[in-house]
Amino acid sequence: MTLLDGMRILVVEDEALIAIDIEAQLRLLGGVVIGPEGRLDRALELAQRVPVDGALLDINIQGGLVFPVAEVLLARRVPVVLSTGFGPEWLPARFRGLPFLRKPFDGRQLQCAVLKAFAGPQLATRAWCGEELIPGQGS
Amino acid sequence: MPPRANRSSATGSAPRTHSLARRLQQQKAALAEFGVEAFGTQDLDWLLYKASELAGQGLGVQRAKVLELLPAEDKFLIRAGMGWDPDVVGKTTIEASAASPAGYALQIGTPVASEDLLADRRFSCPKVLRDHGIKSAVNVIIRGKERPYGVLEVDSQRRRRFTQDDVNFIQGLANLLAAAIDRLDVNRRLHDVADQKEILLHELQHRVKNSLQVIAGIISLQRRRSGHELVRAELGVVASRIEALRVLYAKLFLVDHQAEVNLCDYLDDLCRSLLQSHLPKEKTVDLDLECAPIQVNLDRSAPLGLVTAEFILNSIKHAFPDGRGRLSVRLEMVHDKMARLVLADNGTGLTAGTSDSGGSGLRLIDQLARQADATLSWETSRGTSLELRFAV
Repeated sequence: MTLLDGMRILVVEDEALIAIDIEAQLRLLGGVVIGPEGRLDRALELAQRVPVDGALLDINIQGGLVFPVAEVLLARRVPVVLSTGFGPEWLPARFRGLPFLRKPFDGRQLQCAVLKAFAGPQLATRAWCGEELIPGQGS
Repeated sequence: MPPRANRSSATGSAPRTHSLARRLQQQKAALAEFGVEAFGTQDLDWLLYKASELAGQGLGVQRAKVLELLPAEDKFLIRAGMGWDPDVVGKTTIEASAASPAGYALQIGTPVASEDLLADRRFSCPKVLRDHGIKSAVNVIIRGKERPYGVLEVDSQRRRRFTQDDVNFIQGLANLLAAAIDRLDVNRRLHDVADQKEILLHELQHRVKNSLQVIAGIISLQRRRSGHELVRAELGVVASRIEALRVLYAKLFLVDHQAEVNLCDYLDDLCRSLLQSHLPKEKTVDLDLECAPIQVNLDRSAPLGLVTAEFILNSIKHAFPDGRGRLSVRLEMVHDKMARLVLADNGTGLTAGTSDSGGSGLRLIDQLARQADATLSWETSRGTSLELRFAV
């Protein structure tokens, strides 16, 4: 069983090495990656035009903050996970309830956040993030 | 205009009314003048002196002073003033509390005017006032935001009464002075905070540099220790990428709070360092570097450095099977807004599967070029060459 089962995940991240790492991890989980995209204008275009099942958005990207992209996706009822090096207290109030992945994150944290948000908490608990988690397992 | 009317009516009145009206005019003008000074200057000493001077002039006396409260000692320091003997200002202290008219004013919390200081039973008369032959004085509190700064005092050697207008005028000056002192205090604190931040920033930059150095060292140690060729190769790739960042942070400097690097110097150091630690002993590669001094910011230099590291490592590994070759790095302006970085080797040419780390090398270069907002093109007719064009 692949956990993301062909889900299409939009990845917005402007740091090339991190973007490539995220892409590889999502593929391992069975996802199909849209992007990675590091520029705000192009990310916005993808969010408006391309069908996606979930999105992982870095907040501070080339050209500005990712929030317009998040707005578009949320309006389309696409689940969104935000990610940044700053704490969630820096987020505008309306985004504070969204799943949040604090940088730097490791493979397991990425997988947990993505599975919870996109595949449902049950699957996430069973597969990766529950109490059965073996220490050191993950990436 | 009303002021003109007042003035002409005053001119027509009895001499006493005339002089009172003129004094009021003068006091108003002094307050206006001080208001402008109080919010323009950064110089506290000058401001304190100016307040004393205007206070004295406004009341028509020769002596006035600002007393700064020293709470720990329960004393005032004569901080600024006019008309005093040379060793008084900045040196003489007087007792607070009821041992002085200023202390008494602070104690009861209202202005205190005294026509005859020596006879006044509410407080004692400090020595410095007696020495200067002071007969009458007005004292008003200079109220700071958190605590009183001190007292503004006007002293007369001629015995005189002070009117409510006089007292109001002095209090007005003291209030302006208090606001200005608070403003200067806030300014000073902000400056201190900014200075600390600056120091922290440099400290942090230094630590980033050091940490990268340590990480590079750890990887390089492990690489040399490993007995497996594949492990050495993989760690070599990791080491070269870290090296690109390490050299960058060593070259980085802050220009107007923006981190910048001379891309030419950076690439020069990076190429030499990579050749030194990754070129096998049996191979000889000449480095031909020609570049213009182009400044780029951190956001762009990091991906450009990483691309360069990928390219060089790739060439070292795959381009020169016969053990000899040439690497060239060119950085130049195409026109006044566009720069071009050309990386080239005279090796066997780019082939599929050339790159390391599971074939992600080319993909990585692609992604890094996008991050640097550069357009990327490959040329593989003679050797391999890669061109990046970016706006500067």
